[in-house]
Amino acid sequence: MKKIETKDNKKEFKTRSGISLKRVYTPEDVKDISYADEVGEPGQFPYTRGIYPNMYRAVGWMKRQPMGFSSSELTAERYKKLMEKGGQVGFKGEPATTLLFDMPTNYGYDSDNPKARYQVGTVGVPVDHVEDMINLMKDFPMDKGFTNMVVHGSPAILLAMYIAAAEELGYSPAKLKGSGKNDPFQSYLAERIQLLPIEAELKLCMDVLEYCTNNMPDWNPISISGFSYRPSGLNSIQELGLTLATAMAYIEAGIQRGLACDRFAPRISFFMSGGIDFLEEVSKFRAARKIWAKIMKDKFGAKNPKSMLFRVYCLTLTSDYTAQQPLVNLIRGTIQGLAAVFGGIQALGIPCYDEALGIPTEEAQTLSIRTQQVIAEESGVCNTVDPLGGSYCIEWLTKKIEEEVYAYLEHVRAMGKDGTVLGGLIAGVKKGLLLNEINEGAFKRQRDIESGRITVVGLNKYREDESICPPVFRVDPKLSQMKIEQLREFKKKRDIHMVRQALGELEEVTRNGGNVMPPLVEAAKSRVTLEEAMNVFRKVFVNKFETGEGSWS
Amino acid sequence: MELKRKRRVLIGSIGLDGHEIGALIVSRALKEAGMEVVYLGLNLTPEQVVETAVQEDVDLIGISSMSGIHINALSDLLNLLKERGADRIPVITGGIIPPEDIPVLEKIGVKGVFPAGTPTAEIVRFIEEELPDGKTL
Repeated sequence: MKKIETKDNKKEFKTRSGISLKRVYTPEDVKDISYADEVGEPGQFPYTRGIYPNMYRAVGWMKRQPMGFSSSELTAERYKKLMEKGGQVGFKGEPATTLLFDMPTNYGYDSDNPKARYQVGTVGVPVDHVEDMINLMKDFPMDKGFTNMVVHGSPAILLAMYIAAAEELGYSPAKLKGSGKNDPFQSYLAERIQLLPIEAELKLCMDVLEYCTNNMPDWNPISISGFSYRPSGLNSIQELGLTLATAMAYIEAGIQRGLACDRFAPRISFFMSGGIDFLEEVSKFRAARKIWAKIMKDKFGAKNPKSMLFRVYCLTLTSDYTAQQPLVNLIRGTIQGLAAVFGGIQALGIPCYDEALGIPTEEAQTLSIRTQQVIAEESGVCNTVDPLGGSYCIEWLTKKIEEEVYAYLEHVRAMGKDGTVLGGLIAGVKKGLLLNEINEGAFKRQRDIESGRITVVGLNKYREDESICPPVFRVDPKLSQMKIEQLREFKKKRDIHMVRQALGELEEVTRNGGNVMPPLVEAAKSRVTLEEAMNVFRKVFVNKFETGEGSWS
Repeated sequence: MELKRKRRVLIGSIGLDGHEIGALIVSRALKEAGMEVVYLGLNLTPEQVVETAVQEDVDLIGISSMSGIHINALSDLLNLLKERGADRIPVITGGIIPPEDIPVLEKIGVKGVFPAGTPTAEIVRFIEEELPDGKTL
């Protein structure tokens, strides 16, 4: 019989992060990986196969589509519709939502600030004060539903407004379920929103952590948001490395604040991206669980198994989407979402196919939810836990990513002088090293696309002259004007004496280094606006840290 | 001998928005093509852009827009340029721009629109054609 000659058609086959893959993986490649110590059963240390024994056989993942636009009323209406379609639901079918705020809110400006011009309600919902928050949440069961608040520049103030709104709507803060982003390193490096010195941002982050640990047992005070490092330029391995580095830094900072790690670590959650490189993404989530469990147990001495769980909300990447032939993004979203599910995530959002063109239409939102439902209820991949576990390739790749991530953590630690990851990150931010690394990653990705080293269907290959233009959702500009007028009315009607008193108290606590959360909640109830509260921080912290007086803690 | 200076391009983003990668990628591509880039960064107002463009005597302005404010922001920018008598400076834009907005932008006077996914070489070529020569020193 004639032997069939086969030959590879490329010199190298690499994952998107640059790991070379061999022609085929065999038992030889995984012989040093101990099943008991490094893989283990789902629900058991080191949790490589999943954080729960039954995973999706017991409870599905949360389906959380990000959204928010124009006004609190309109946003509330849209998410009600999505809930009816089965979109915004949590583990037990309870409502779950992700709130996105407009840029002025993220930058700590009220809607009537001249810097907010053009942008009130354009990419998220504007929240200037507690009454906006009440409008947003009044039809939402705040004690049963799960709210994920994505706030970049002013998380402590927005959380205080959320708490104040809850109390005015009759809910006790102790009952609130959800998470806030509250990740200053990410805001600095990925969102590039740098409102206060990094040391001040960290101080406020720890105030939120301490306050929630003592008062809000069901709230995740820090959602470590590695997601945006990807569209900013980092690859999958760097994303995981930097995400875990920031997580370690917050644990170190929390311990320095005097909190025992087992008291707060169980409520720290993660927000990661889901990319198009299927094998690498599946392995990334498996490696993440294993590394985090080991770090928490071995480095921080956690005793509570819940401190060791890498609980993750995955939002798939729109940076893999194209504005060209946008319907193809539906297929990309499906592959990304499927990889995340094979990766064992706890919550999933698949952005809409028209995101590359602007704010999603309702039809596109529906299709994203339907994609999740097809994966969950038709594809059969949820019938057994970690079905790709044991694949020679996946186990080898999981191990390989683990090694690379440990090297990355060392790299970050070495940026500082004090031997901690926290010190390394602060130094890396202040010296611009990390931002530079992210920018270089973006340049490389662009070169890879332009040179055709990576294929983007419809963009650098299979391009078509005529592309489909889906309907574009536009925010009515009159709504921005209305919001500004409403805010002016609000400011006229409130009791200015109470506002001044609340601001005075906030300033005093801020100057004395106390926890700002209690006076912030009081300020929200006294109808202090976002910008007024932020100005107190700007005034106190900018002086304190720029004159070099304060150390960060 | 006549000395020519390099083509000088201002790059920046108007409004509160942290999406910087597009502006940085275009800046690097223009530098690699031998142009001089005045990189103004993020969170600009149209007034700041015009002020710098005039002071730095730039040959072209490139505005990155990722948050849907391109029509308002660029109309204001072009009007201000006119008021300052600097409307000889061509303005181009790129970012998240729906196809149906391209004719609108062209109508208000934007010289080139490069939505996300445009190869940087296309932008370089456009500028080279728009500004055939560097300025005489």
